[in-house]
Amino acid sequence: MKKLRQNRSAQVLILAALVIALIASSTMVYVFHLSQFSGVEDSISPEDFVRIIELGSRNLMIGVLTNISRGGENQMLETSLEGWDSFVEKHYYFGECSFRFDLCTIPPYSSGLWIFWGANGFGVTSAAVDFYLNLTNEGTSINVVYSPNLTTSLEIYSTTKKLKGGEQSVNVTIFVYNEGEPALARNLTIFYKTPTGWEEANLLPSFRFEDYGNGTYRSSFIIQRRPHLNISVKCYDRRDIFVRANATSAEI
Amino acid sequence: MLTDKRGHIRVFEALLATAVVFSALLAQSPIHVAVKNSGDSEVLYEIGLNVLIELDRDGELGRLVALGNWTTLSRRLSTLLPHGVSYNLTVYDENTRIVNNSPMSGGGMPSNKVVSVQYILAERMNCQFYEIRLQLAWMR
Repeated sequence: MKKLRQNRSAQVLILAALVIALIASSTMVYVFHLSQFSGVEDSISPEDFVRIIELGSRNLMIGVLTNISRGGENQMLETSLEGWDSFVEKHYYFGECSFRFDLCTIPPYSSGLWIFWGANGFGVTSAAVDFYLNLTNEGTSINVVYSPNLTTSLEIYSTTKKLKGGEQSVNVTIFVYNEGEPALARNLTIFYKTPTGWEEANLLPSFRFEDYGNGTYRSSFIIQRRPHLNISVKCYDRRDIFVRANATSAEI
Repeated sequence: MLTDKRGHIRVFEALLATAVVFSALLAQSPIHVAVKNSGDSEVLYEIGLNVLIELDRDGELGRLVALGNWTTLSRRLSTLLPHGVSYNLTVYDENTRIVNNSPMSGGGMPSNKVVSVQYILAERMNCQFYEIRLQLAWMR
């Protein structure tokens, strides 16, 4: 009898091991299932939030600049940014958010804007703002300062050459820039001045236009000869920001 | 001599029991990996955020929202999101009212785990602000 009990005790050892293995396995499977069923995960890292806000600020400035360059109030920049400021602060759910901005006042900027459509062949539509974003979450704090400067500028050079029969050929070279880098235009219109007012050059049968694909455009046309010919170019860049420049054509 | 043999058997049984326990633990390692792969939701989150940023980079996201062009927006999301990911997008205005009058979703039956991406949008056309919620899940 004693011998038989001893044999059984060995079997109990294996049985216990099997039970332990079973418990360990079932616990693991249970934990796995729990981890799978966790509903909606909702979080955003402060770094990602900063990325989104930087892009949003830039897009908003482009929108405002588009509007102002087409005749909107200059005040719109400040009011729009104030709205953006409070919207951003309200929509950070993972801690404290402090967001403010300063409009650039360093000349040639005034209230964050520099709009100059000159008669010397240069035109610029620009906005510059400094943003200060502070995010605080569970004892950690992130301070970010970024200063987007959005500038669409235009340079035009024009020459005229006398032709027979009281006519002159006009050549206009146009350079378009975004933030100082060559950029493509969405729409370009060239005008020349007559005693009755500005006329569109592209309506002339002699009008030729070349797009070099790198922000450089060249146009030529033939008109009646007149001294000190004034040329004007209106440009919308790919962001729909408007800029204009005038120049007096140089005779060669 | 007989007692010695019994001792050998005990040792053998103990080793067998240990082997049973360890083999059970080894069998669980794929589950460990699966639990570790819950980092998939982080991948899903990154995908969702990058898709929205990419759409917003040239102002297209804002333009589609401002125009209420939900069909095109839904099509863009379907193109940019990888296969096997289902999505649901909701746009809220400044007063937290839902703007999209038609649901924007696609991809089929989602799994239990859903990742929600919050996106703050400033659009260029009317200079309005929106909050976007993009919910993503791997399909079953």
